[in-house]
Amino acid sequence: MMLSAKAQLRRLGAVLRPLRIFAVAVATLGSSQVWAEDTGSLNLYGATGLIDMPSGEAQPDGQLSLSTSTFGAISRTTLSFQITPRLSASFRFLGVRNWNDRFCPPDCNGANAFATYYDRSFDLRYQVLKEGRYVPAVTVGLQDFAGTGVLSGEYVAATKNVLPGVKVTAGLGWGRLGSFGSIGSPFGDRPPIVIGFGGDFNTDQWFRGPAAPFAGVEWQVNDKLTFKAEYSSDAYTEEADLRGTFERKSPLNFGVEYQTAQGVRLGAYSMYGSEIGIVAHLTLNPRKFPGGGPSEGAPLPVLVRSGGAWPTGSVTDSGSAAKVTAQLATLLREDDIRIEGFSSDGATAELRIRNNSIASGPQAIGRAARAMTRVLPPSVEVFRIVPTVNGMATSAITLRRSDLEAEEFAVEGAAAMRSLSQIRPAGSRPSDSLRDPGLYPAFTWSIAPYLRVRTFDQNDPLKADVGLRGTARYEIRPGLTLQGSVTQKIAGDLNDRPPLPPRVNLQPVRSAIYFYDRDATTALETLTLAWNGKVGRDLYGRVTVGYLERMFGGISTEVLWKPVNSRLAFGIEANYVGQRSPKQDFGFDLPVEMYETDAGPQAGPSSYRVATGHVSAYYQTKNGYNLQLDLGRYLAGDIGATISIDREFANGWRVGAFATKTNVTAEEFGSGSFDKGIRLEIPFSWVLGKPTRRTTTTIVRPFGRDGGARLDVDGRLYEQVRDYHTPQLDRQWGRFWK
Amino acid sequence: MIRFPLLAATAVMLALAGCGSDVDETLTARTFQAFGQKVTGVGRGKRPAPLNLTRARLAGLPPADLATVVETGAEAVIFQVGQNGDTQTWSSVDDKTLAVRQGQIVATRGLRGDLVAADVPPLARIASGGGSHTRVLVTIGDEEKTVRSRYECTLSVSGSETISFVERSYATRRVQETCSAKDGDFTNDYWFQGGTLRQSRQWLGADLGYILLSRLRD
Repeated sequence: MMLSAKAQLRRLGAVLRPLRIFAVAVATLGSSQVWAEDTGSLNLYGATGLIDMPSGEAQPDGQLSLSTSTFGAISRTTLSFQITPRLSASFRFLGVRNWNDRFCPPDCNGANAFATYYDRSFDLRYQVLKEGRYVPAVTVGLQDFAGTGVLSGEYVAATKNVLPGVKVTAGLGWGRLGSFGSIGSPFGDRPPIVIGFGGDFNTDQWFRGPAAPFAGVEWQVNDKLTFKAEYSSDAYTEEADLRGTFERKSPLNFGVEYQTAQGVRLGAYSMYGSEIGIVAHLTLNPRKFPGGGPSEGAPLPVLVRSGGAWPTGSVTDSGSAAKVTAQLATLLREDDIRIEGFSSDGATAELRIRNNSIASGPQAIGRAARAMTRVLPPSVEVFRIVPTVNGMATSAITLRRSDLEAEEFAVEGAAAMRSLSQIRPAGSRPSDSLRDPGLYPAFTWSIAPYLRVRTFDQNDPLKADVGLRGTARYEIRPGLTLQGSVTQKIAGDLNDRPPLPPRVNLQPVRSAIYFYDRDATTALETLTLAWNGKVGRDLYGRVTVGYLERMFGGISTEVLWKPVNSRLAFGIEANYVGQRSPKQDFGFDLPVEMYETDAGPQAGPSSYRVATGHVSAYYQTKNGYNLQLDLGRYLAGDIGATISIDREFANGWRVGAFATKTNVTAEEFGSGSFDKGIRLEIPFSWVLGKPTRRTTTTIVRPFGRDGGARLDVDGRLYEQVRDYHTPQLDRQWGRFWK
Repeated sequence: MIRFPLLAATAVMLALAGCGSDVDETLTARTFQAFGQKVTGVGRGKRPAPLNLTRARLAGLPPADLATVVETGAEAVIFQVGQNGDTQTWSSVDDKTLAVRQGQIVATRGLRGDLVAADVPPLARIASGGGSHTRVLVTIGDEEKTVRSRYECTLSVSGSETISFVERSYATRRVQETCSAKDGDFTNDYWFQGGTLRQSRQWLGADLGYILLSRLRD
């Protein structure tokens, strides 16, 4: 009877169609609360501060902000992240227009070659003191601490709330922040910067040379409106005095900021007595799910056995088991959970599920368990739920049915279910396990637009192509998938030639990307056959063959050791690949023009094969960080190591950084000296408010070159399996009853 | 700089979310749309049309009640779909549920910022209209952790009131429950018709706000 509750409601739906608005209205409810809490305030550098100067404050933990500002000839676009409550980092693109107006012609060499000068910079800041009753908040910061150092400066800034809504800031700056109104050099002279190939830490410069004080005041009138004024210690020696891109008439800046809802903050200022400055900040905090969670259907309630209407019969004969499997498949299809296996001995039932869309593993497990209470005969007391991913059984969660009945509406119901259940390694699939017969083979396809961007190629901050991508995916049986994608470019300017700096010795495994963008209007992006499977109790395996990515094809194999209850994992990946033709058809022949640099045509092999692979160690910390160390041989044949650290939020957001050092010298590598970058992974469920497990990852490399490059193969094992292992399940367990 | 035709092409492409049986592949474009709507505010703040429910339309349906999300004005007729001990699960036709114990909502599902669980006093105590008690609301907060908020509540009778909904009027006694905690205050209202809880307005946490529960059953 209760089994058909949803079916009954669906029939009512026909009568009550006009009533179906509950969902729509609720979906918009509360969505405004996510975008930001009180963000303090950010400056034109996109860092916590006044107008052009920093302050002693920090952003709320986990806060992510994107800022874009301009005044005079200077534009800055900055991504900032509050890594821990005290530590924050910024990554910035800078553009200065009219850069060579005074010099070129006649002198158009070196730095004067650029009409607009572009650069990127990293900042780090650490709050050494939190504001107290008498103590100000104090932050020590390094601005543009690596690389060419155009923006480099260090500071100590202190901020104190003195009246309701009024705070004052005072600080001392070095480098460019000590260039106006200096009080001397307390820690000695600042040695000249050694740029080299950029990308190295300029440690011997930090806090050296002239120091100058700066100060400011901020008055927050109400939730929306803030006035700011400051005295800047930045002389803009290069931009104003030397190059005349703007005139610096005064050290005083002042302006007003307006905070809209939705985490948007706008500001307008008078800058240095001569220019108008404007800024827009977009802030959000991944710690909180917008509106509390994705919009989804409610789970089925637990059907209590003492309720009188429980199902009768047996599940031990194959006929009844098939019927139960079909019923479970029907109930769980609503949540896009598929039945990969069902078996029961009358007292215990094992359900193998594939969770296609619910982002939280425990929520999918909780829903599967509730469906089981509705169809299994009362004799079945123990439920074992085995989440599978690509045919791999990841873990086995054992629950007691009487606990489900008792804890459904208990105040601490989720925590109780966690302590009453066990998470163990998944056993092998029972021989009598039944699968939803409609699952395999499965064919899916899509046609959707794509956007491909190239940031900061030194001529332009942003170039892009748009086009259509068609995908097809054929799952032959669990764990065996044939998939492919083709792209058709419609418009874009990625075929505009960027600077192609000369390279030394290395095969252009990544630096030739321009030719791949230019030569393939229609491209076979990927075409692979992939096998995934368990190869031991805690061992997972993967083999992928075919056109693995835009630039490489071949074979990729991987084995991962990851015990269910462990925070530690080890993996080995071995690949043998060839570089694909820039036309991205089926060929592996490399045209000689692909080796061209700004120095002219270069010679290079007409085909390139490489064995590349790594041994990897992974560790998920208790406080939400994931560490990864890879040692091995990279695509250009170079040998070295990559270290990655990501802060992972329970809802799937990840913000991290990585660096790779190989036996390629800084000179061979070129600009940037070694490979490094930042990575941002955003769960679609968070943005869309709809249940989906899909995420999107953006990697920003200030200098993408050929050293330390890795194969970009889909479906690496660690990210596939760990969602259903204890450390990750525990983080999301609060959604068990959702 | 990006040329205008490229910008226009991008806008058009992203407006077309795509199609196919593999929905995940179309999410990037949908995300751009959602993001655009969030920033520009397009599509926000629309209030749903009222139900204009009549007794005639309720005739022939299973026993039903009426739930209204106060902040948005969204209304739904709800039907009982489950029973676990003293807690009933009521569902709207579009698959949003309320778990109700002695007239009080102890959980919601499918409403995004759901009330995960609650600890509520016996209804008889609320009906008495005096004294104090604690009320616990559990929601999901930062980092997907459950947040347990404990409120100290006091009861008072605010007098007789005639309330009406769906073509009927009821003479009721209104009881107010004022609850406070560090993270905020709220006031629940209960309208008793004799011993029957005819209507209530209950706070379910910051994401959901108040839900008005009207008993249509006799």
